[in-house]
Amino acid sequence: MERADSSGITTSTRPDAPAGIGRRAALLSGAAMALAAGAAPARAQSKPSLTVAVGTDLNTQDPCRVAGGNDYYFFANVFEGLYGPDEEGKPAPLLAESHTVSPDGLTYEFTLRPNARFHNGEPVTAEDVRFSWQRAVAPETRNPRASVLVANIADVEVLDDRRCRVRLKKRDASFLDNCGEYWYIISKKHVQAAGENPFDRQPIGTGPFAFVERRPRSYIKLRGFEQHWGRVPAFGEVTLKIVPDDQSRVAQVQTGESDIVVNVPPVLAAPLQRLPNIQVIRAPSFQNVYIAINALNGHPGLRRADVRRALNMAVDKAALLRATMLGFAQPLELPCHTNIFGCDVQVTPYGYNPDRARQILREAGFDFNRPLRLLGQGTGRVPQARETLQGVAAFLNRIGVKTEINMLDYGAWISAYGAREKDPSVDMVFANFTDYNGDPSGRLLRQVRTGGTYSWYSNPEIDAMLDRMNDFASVEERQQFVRGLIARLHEEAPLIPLWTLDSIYGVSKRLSWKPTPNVSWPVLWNVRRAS
Amino acid sequence: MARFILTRLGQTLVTLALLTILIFVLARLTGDPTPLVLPSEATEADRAFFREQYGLDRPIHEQYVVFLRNVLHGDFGISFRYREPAFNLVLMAIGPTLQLAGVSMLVAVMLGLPLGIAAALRPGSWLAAAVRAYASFGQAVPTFWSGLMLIFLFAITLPLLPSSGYGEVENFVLPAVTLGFYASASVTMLTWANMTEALRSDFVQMERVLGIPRRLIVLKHALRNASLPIVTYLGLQFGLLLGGAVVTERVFAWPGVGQMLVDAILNRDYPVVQAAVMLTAVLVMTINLAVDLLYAVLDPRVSRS
Repeated sequence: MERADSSGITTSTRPDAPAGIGRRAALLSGAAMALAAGAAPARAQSKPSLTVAVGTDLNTQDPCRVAGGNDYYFFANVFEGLYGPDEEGKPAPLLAESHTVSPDGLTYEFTLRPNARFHNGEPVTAEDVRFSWQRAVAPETRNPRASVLVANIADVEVLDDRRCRVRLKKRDASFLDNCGEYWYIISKKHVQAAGENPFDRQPIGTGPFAFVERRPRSYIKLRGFEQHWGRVPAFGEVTLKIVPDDQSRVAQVQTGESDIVVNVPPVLAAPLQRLPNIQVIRAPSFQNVYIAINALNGHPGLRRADVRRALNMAVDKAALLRATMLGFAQPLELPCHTNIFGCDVQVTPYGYNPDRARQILREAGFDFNRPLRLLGQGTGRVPQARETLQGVAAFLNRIGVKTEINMLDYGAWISAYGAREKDPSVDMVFANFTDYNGDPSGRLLRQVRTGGTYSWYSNPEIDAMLDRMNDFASVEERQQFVRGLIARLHEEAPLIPLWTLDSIYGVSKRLSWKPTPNVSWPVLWNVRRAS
Repeated sequence: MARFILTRLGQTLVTLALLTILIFVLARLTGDPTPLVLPSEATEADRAFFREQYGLDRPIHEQYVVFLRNVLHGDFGISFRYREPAFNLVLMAIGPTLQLAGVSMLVAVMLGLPLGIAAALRPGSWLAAAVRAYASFGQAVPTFWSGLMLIFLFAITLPLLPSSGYGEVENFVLPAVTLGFYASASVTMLTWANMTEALRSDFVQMERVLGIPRRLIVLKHALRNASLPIVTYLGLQFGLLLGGAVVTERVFAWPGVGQMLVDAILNRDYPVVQAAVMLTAVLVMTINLAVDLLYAVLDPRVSRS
């Protein structure tokens, strides 16, 4: 196929295929580019185009209504916060140039980059920062994720065009980490001029890519933002094609119709690796797969920490990872990946030891006659979800624990897993949890604190530690504290951690790209043409 | 004739009324959409507001009355997931589905009719055997497999056609052949059986004796008599394709209504489920009505009875 961009320069991706498939699309977006307010200098039009095949459509284009991890392939490329992930996945200043924190950790003063601009060409000002907070917390916005960060902001004070002071209601050591995913900076002028639902037609952000057009369930077109403060992409037009079927999505890169495919399932990654024109690139994500243990009201034996540790010993995670994931994941010992803040603590691994596990269960008076009822994800959003739970059950059977598996579709599964009152007829749940950034506080609150959405565990001591976790001004002190908490959780074993998934991409060899690690979506600004 | 049409229209309306109850209840049986629509960070207040906003906190019979009243005003509600009118979303998806269903039926007829007629004209020949093999194969092969094989052959191995997507003429070829091939198997067998019977009938024998040209006998008189069951089948198959081409739509990333409906069910997006089912139901009923009317044209006895 040949793709022609609007200036007529073609990037030949597959010379033997009929030309013309992309022509109409190129014309369309060319017109849209010309329309975009003063933000498409000639340089952008001479750049080649890039096509990326993704699996799902967006839920929303409004940064205050992000519904979940699936939406981030859009937001991570089109919007930015004051802080966000750098190329190594660590928090780094994005729209902010620098910041200072008061000794009590309650006041942050940010200086904005002088050359930060919105896609409509307007400079990013402190007033926009203030407005972004106001809109994110306004009740009428109905921001479903306001509770994580913006609701804790007492005030944003505009000092001058480029400087603002953010005062927090209570200390939050995860504040900067969360700025990337929970507080996108939007343009006050744009929102006020656009009326109701300002992001539906024109989602204007500051990211390395600007929105061009979208056809729901077919594609989203973006273009490289030439006036970006530093992350200027090597590509002009970028098409995010929505191809839900795994096999068909992978075929996109085999035929050259797409340059990158995201979410390649492990079973398709291995054969793809053998093709001459394609590279399979994997990056550690923060998508964790584990088994939650019902320590609240399930099988009475599960209320004992020694029993839960024994169940961890019963499962040969390395073998399971090889067999079901074909090695495309990183084994987990702790509830979170070692790149998560405070999760780099050294502990004695549970180790695979079925004999010892059986012995502990006997000593604890575990009722072997009562089967453990396992809840699984039938229709998968997680690769190999069925096989993984079946494998875990088989390992439990090996130490004499009977199991019953109930596979549910995603909706029924998440309703049961996140139910306010946990179902006593469920003993274990196959679960996945995506960390949006390197700070563990938000997820631990939901995952193990008493009453947390996904918590099947309750322990006042752990609750007290969780409540203190963000109340530190010193990073070092906090790190020590979180390490202690994670080590305690390892002893308490409210979960059987299995692995962290790799993000697997099929990428044309004409490109060179280092996907940002520790995020679970493609960040595309650093895709380059291979030299 | 007018009475025939009126009776059929009346039946259609009753069916639609019953369908509103059925789809309303079935959609709600899938469970509470809140955990699927809102992220895990949402507070209990957010969840309560969501239920209130969409009236999900009210008793189900009240919800039904509101739903019915709105539907009569052409309002199917706002999609939970996309926050856009569900009817608009379904209308956007019905276009690609109708196009694909139409082209597939064309493929099915263009393959099935000639093959069926040819086999009926030469019973016992190698041609008839080949046609039988073709039809068995066509019916036995599931579309998800034939679709992927076509992608493998004509997009990857021989890079002639786009592997998936929607918008250009080339995009139609593989999905339409996938669906058309499957349907053509039944069209072939039906044509074959009915043509064989028609060719044996007294009036055809009579026409032969009278020396009417064979081509005229086959294409005008025998085919017309054989066509009733084929038209019925095509009508049913078209209806099936409107809502049921889920697998093919998914494999070829076709933004049609079947895939949209399945996604909406899995996401518990009630308004989209209701709008999609109602709209496809109306279309299918319209097609059935059209088929019945076509009967009357093809076989005047139908309207007289």
